[in-house]
Amino acid sequence: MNCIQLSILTAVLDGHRDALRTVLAGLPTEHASPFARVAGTHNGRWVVLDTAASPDAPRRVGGVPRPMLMCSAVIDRSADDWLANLLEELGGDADRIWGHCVGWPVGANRVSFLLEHRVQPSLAFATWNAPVDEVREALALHARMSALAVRSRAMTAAQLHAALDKALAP
Amino acid sequence: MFRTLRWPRARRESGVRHDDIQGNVIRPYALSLTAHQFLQFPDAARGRAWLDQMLASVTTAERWDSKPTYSCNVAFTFSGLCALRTPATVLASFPTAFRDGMAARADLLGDTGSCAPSTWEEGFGTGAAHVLVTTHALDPTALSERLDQLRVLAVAHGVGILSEHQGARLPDSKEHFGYVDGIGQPALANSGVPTYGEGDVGMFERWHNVPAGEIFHGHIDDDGYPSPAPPAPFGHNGTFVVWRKLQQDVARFRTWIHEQASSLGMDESLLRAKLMGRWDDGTPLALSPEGPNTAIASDADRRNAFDYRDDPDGFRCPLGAHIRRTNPRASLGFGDALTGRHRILRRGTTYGPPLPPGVTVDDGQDRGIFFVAFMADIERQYELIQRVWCNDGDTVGVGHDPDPIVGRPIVTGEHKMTIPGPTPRFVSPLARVVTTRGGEYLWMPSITALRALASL
Amino acid sequence: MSDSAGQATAVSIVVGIRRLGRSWYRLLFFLARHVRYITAPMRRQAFIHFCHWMVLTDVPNEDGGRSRLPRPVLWFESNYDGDVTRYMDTFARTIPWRMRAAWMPTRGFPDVFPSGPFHEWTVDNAFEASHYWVAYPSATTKDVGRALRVRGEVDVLRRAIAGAPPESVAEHWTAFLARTQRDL
Repeated sequence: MNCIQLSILTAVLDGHRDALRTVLAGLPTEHASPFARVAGTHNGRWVVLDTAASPDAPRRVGGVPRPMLMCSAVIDRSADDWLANLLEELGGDADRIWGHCVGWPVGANRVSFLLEHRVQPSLAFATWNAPVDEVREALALHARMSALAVRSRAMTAAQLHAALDKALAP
Repeated sequence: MFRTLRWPRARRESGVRHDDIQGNVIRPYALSLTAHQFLQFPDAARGRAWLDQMLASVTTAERWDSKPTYSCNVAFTFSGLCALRTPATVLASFPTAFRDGMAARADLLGDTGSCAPSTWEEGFGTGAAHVLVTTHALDPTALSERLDQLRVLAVAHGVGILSEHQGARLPDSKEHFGYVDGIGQPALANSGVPTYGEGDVGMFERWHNVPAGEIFHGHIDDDGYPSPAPPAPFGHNGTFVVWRKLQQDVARFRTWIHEQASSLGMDESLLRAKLMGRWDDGTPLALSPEGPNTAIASDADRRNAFDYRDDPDGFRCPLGAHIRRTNPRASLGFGDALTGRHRILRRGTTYGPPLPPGVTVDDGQDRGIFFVAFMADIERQYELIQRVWCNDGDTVGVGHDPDPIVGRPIVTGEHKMTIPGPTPRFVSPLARVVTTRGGEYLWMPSITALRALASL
Repeated sequence: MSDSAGQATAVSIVVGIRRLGRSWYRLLFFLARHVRYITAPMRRQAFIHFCHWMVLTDVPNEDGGRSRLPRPVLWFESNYDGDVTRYMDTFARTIPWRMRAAWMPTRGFPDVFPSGPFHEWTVDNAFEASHYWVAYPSATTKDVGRALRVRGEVDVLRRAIAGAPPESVAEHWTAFLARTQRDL
């Protein structure tokens, strides 16, 4: 339950592919990404699958008839909770993104819509099985312990005791 | 669905043509003095005329009946090939790293701060250098006479001499920090020069020589297919050269070793060995962790006969030691699958006078190494070793700690080197003791290709 | 468009599946879910954060319903360390038969050797992410593994030194360093 793959595939409305791409490219990134504000998110992405044969999108994929939008994330909570949280954090951007997709409801039932478009993985692999907060805490703790490993060689027993108390504090 | 399958290493190769490959790659020259001249062509016609005059003196990989007094080899930068008006199809066939040049990839290599191209000696990394002429010589007289000949030839064709760099082997084949250098080179398949332990170790603990295509273009590589090469007649038997002038701060190194050894309660010679992966005499820690062993160090068949599989935690040779990073052998798992495509062949030499033993105050003399390495693919081989294995430690299992000798500029206090053991020790801070003073990526063509270039 | 976030890189490969491929994938994925040996090397390499495969037989259509695809499509997504060329090279060289089993049923797959055509095929069938984010961007797969292992050992250390005098704290600390030296 700590690393659940969630993939939502929606069809892009005719003629809306470029506008959709523009919206996604304009989303703030790094710590300001909408995913950053949604608890329990290991990672998240939006991918636009091009299918129409055109000068800037010449590829066709296996007969897929129209561009698709895939929203994928690895999460450590239930899909409906996570989606509700994502929509809340996206605010108006949710309509600006999925509003370019077929069937996007205005107002209510948006979580249901996304869940109806969920694609289950045939096989999912995760190297670790820990929730996001635990991974982050472990990484911060690791940095403190690694630094202390170097500094401790010059410490007295009392200094080490005090330094450990500080490094191990939550 | 199954029709596309192919077997790796499906093709066998009969051998490399020693008369078409330039020398000092398959086997090193036993000539202790070197000179590297970087030259600039005034125009294509005169450049080719110069090259035409040089052809007869280029040394091949053929065995010598008797040792010559000097050898001669030439290699070109991409800007040099452009200056010779090499056909566009040939120029386009070269990979991005070579076309970009070393200076343009400085960030990838960690050549930043005091190692940045803006600090390099004049002429390096600007596109001004077109050709490198390398001379090895038996003695100072032979070197001096040969350099005079080359200068006269250059002047006669209007070829500019941008810089000259002379080097000489130090006693006992050591480099300035005091380590024996130049051991542990790939043994090339079908080259006629086998040496046990210098190839790659496969999945079933069997050594196999490094396929010639890992060094020479157009030959079968470690994937079992011909390595990419420029179109004929430029294709076969060429190789890329990575040339770097690496200045060594010997005084700083000695001071740092002393400080760290004192702080860690370690013997200085042991600390030196743990950083490098070998004792000063070349004995590998992997085979002799307690101390140097002359019998091993002097035996070419023994001194490289290790693969780290019996030392997974680095208790003998630390995971972050220099030689373990630059040639991890089997320590990344899966035999040589993760290392076999990243071998390089080194033929560098030292330059500058040695700092007298025990001196820990810099005397202002320029000293260091001309790092010279050969490979078929700069990005996959040299750049990966420098960028991924030396400037970072993730792949080799030491987090983001860099190589203590040649890793990227060290932020004092941020990184360490772990010396594993029943009581682990952490060397910190690391010290910047090697500074890049300049460098170029070059292509060393075959004799056939040289003739083709001269007659364009 | 951004396929990287700090140390992590995203790849999405979407490619048609050949005849009989769907049946092959049913068998393959079933075995992979139940036989650890199949995915064990991926864990050992410690290169991938997360990845997954989806087989699409139908997709949403313009009417709000779903339309069957003439041929199924494989949608593969991965979050990993480094660049896609090294990623594919690493797997091609260490687990070539698993790679073949995973990609053989796809259209145009040229085999894992030689590497040139395989790289080109990968790039041709990869779709860039328009937006990508990772919760711990400075961490590689190995970093996370090391951190989680150290965390476990820290719990042991914490219990050992609770209320202990400074002299024995030093002993416990030394023992902790010996146990975690590979991960610090």
